[in-house]
Amino acid sequence: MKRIRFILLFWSVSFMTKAQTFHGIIFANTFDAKIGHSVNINYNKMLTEFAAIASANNMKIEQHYFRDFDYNKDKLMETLNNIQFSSQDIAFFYHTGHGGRATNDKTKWPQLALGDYDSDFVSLNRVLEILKQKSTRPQLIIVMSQSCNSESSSLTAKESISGGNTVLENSTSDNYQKLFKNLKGTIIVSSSSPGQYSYSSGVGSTFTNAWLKELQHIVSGNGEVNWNTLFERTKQRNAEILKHTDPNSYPQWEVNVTSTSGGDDDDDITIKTNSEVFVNDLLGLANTRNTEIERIRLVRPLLQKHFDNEFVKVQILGKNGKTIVERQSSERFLKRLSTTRRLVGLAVLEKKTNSNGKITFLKIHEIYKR
Amino acid sequence: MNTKLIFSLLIIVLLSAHGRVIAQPDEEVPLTDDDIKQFKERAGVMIDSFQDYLSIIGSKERPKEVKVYYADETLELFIRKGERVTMEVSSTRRTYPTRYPLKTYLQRLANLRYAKVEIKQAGIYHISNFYKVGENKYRAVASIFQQFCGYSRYGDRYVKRYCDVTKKTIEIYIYLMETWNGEKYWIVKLGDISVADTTPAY
Repeated sequence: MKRIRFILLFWSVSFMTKAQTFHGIIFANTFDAKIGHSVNINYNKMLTEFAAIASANNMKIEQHYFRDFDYNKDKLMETLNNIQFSSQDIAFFYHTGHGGRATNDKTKWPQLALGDYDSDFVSLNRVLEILKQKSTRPQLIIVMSQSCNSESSSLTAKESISGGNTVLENSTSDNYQKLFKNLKGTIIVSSSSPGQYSYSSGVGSTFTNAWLKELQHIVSGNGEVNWNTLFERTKQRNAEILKHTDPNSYPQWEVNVTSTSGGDDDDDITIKTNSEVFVNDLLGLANTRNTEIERIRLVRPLLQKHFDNEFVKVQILGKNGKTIVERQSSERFLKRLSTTRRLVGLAVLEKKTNSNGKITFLKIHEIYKR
Repeated sequence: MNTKLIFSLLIIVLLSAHGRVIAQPDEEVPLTDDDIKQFKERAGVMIDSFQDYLSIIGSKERPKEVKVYYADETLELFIRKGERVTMEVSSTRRTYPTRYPLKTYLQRLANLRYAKVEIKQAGIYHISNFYKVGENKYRAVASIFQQFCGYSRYGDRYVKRYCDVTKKTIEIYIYLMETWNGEKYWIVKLGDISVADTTPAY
């Protein structure tokens, strides 16, 4: 029992170190009456993709995900101002919600609508600038907005443009790492260009879906692995979807990155820790560095630690963040995790807890290596 | 009469307590192409797990407690938790493969008379497209390659006595389940496993 407690403690605490970290920051306007459903789909898809990116790049993940009541300007500014990085970290900011631009906006980037009033709008470019100006700047910063960029006379201009372009250089390592870990610099992208609208449907927003699809194609080895190619292909796919709706809506981007000298990690994808204790414990349960017996004996303590009882519903979702590919009780779920040999990451999509903090419902996506 | 009624009610309750397969021709529940793609990926994860579990169950270095636990997990991957699921095995020393109930196969695997057993994936698996095979039921077939090697021990060393690579096919099903309170949901499970080809490996 002491050994089990030690292993639990080890996995909960030990990796609060200087491991290279992927910071996923999501702001999603899920409460909006018109687009909230689609935004929620985007939120789940990007959350899942962030977990996959972190795993594929052998990085620890820090999650800064906000939706519902937390989708507001104060929370955004608080997050951007308080977040801390090390020089080898990657920061990926994703916004999904309404957006617009002033008629006299000097920048081509949209303003993110984090509330109903002009003062609640924040320029996407400002988000990039705040992250660039951190005392320790992350190695790679990506900011992306899935929102309209249409003009509104009630908006005032916010921040002015900055930055330039650098052509990416290819490397020969794993494709995800070519796009993230092996690069430094900044990338800014919005789903529509000045004066244009963005679109969504019951399966999420067109740009986000197009980007995710092309990202998957490229990391699977279908095409040149660089951000400009990725965005060009995304633009084409987006145009194909919108050709009958609005052929004049297309994304815009600026890629300002160079390749790094490479990391000091091993080539194999291994489990990296998560900032959330619950996910960390699950990853510890799945970690093959522990013996089979040790992992099996972790099941009951973790069940008691995190879940209300052994029959709590757990739904495992596919990569689309929508299809429930497996349903299990909490006990069954933990038992399965205690035997898996290839799990490298987890993304919690929904978690309900009772007043004691015990989980009463869980929706999760699992990331495996092959 | 009372006994018969109670017994019938008990059977109904037991059948309803867990999910049951839907078999009502006019109750089609939609499954999109994207859903099928997600289930196909899940099936791939299950196949990887299956192959990993076999290597644990066949290993002579694991205690019985571990092998029993992994055997239980293996059965969870299959339809009806492995009941009436069969596994075909072959040998380069025999002309025809032999078919066992899955549970029997796992017991035999755990107790093979070698000093050391190695079972591992010998190649990338492939899953076919899913095809509708009935109301609310889809089927696909996966091809896997499995290497099996058995060793005898002479003092400190292990000597390979047998080694083969077998191509096997695994049935995969996506079907609709229904709980006692009428909730319907799709589920993916593995089915029978057959031998396609066996070749010696050196």
